[in-house]
Amino acid sequence: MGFDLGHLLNAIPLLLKGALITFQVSVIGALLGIGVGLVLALMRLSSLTAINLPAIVYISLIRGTPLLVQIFFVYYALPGLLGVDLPAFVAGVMALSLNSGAFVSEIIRGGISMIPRGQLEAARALGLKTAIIWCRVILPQVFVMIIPPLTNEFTMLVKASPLLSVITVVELTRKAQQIMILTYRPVEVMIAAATLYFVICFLLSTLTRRLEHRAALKGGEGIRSGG
Amino acid sequence: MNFDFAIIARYWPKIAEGLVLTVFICALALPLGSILGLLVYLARMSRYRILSNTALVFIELVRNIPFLIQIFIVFYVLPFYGIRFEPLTAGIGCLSVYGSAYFAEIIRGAIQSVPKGQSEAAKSLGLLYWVTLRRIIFPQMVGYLIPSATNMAITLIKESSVLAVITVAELTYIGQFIIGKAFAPVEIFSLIALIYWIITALFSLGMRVLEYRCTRFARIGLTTI
Repeated sequence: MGFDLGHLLNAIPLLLKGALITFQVSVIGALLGIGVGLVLALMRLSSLTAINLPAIVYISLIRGTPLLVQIFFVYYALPGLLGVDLPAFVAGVMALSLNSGAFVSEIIRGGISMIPRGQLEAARALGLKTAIIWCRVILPQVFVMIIPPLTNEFTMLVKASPLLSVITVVELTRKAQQIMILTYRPVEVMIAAATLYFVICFLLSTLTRRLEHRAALKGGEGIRSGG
Repeated sequence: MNFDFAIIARYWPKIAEGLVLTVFICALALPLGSILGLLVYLARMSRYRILSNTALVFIELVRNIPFLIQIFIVFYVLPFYGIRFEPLTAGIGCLSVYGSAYFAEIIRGAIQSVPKGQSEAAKSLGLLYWVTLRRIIFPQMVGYLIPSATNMAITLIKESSVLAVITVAELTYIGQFIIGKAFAPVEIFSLIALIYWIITALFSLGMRVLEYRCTRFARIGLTTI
């Protein structure tokens, strides 16, 4: 069995369409994930057990269970619990952002802990209100600092998005499977899909490394991103 | 919405089977992945350009292609070239290979975290290479190695759920199977999530105990030895 270039060329436009969905799912998932992560990080900072304990349990639960199980839960179990119908795309994005949020919250927490205490004290001494201190002083600095680990988290999301094919979201992997079933030529399609993923993820991880390097040059210790 | 425990009671034997298989897969793939990772690290550090470049390309390929796609390549593409594996074998193999690329980088990071002066000092004191590695480098890198390796191992345990896609009857697959028979997604997926949560929690607890024992020297004070 050889490698048929014609099949590959036929498949590429379709695969690119799938890649667009992969991109959409990852970007929306990442943006919502930052929102979820911010809420969780602020909840964890609270001194009230009733507020910080749910966040701690949620983060531990998400980080301790497979994403695939979370996707199944959102897709199959959540509609029954909430009483709403979730299309595969919506369920997929929800699962990704709920998952990513737990990891982002740890990144944000790391970022907040890097802000010197003096900043908070100085802002208080100037008589700024708590909300202003957070929105105008602390969080803007945190977000600049956590750009490298957030890029890394985005790469993780792109790499996790193939799992959505299991709940019939027609992203790159699902598209590749569909083509494979139609033509019964898995070689070209799978290699092409793998190459597409590799290019996207390699560019993203190179970008992450650059950003980390720059952050390390700029000011002492950056936050190291995992993985 | 009431929680139906009868479903769980009815299907418990099946779930237990899935749990055993998940544990079995991890018990094989984690050690295999670590050993492969050590080999990949050694190749990466080799003086021979062919070896080190191959290892580098391998690491970048594995780390930048999603795990599911890697499984599909082994499961759908390789049979076209006459290479066939049972789903379970393919799964354990993929998981080990996937882990090895990350473990190789973790080992590299751990060894680099020990200042170069340490091995130079040991050398100038006339310590053998093996003794330097065992008594000087290893104790100092273990505090870095164990937490990162634990994180990666937990990622692998979670990633083993993806093998459900190629019909390996592990925990997640059993979950899907039961949903197909008796539609009770809330009960079944809550239970399965809980089981994974317990597995990963126990694993990280065990590793923390190991780390505590391995870094004892740092607490009793290195200077008194």
